[in-house]
Amino acid sequence: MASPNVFIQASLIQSLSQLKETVPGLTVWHIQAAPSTKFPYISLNMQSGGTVNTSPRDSFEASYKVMCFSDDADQSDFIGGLVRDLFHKTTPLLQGGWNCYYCKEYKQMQFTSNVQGNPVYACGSFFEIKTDH
Amino acid sequence: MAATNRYTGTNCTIVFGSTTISNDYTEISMDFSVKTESRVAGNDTDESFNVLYKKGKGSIKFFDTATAGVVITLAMLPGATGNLYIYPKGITSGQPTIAFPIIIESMKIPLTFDKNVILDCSFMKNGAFIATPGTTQP
Repeated sequence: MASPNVFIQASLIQSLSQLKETVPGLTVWHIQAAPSTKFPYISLNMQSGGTVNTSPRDSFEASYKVMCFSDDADQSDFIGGLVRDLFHKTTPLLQGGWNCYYCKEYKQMQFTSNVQGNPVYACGSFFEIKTDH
Repeated sequence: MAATNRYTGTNCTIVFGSTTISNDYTEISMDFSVKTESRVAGNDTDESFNVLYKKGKGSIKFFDTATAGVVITLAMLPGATGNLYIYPKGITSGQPTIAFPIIIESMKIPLTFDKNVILDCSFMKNGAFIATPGTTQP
């Protein structure tokens, strides 16, 4: 059986892919976008967490970082808001028999960088997720 | 140094009546004691006691698991009586067991915002041991 993180990441990426209908051209990536990926795109990765050994039932709690990249600051903020709406105070459907009973945003981030003279804007959030199996 | 065979509660199985209540348990605690009476008399200079009877109490905490936990919650309502069987290392021949009848005395249900809900039931021993601490399974 794969790590619960594998199932949770795959499930969250699948959920994020719904946003492609709202944001034309959007792509979703695990950890990092492929080289030369066009904007806008989203990357998702587990930030920290793991198995919680407090009862016989298998339990996994982790925080996930979702960042929305664009060459337009307003667009990255807009997509960040969509991501918040998608996950905050929800219970995303998970694969592998895992059940999410808690998913909330607990921190937002913004940063900008300069890639070969072109500005890149990123907006995103940390989400805390609690699951059992 | 010789192996000491320490163990954790990982494999503990707890059954109340016919309901397994250990699937989401986080802690079970038991406290066994005896009721005593002083037999100090006359010019005694040191206190001594008579043992009157054995008694016991305890508590169990477990995660509430929404609809899946309803059966356990219903079984553990205050006033419920039945036999409590504890197998600290699981149901295996030669491993320890403790068993005695209980009556559920209270159920605490703290609902903390954004925290896991953990029910806390206290109980009292309600009769003689079926298996005292230190007993092993046949």
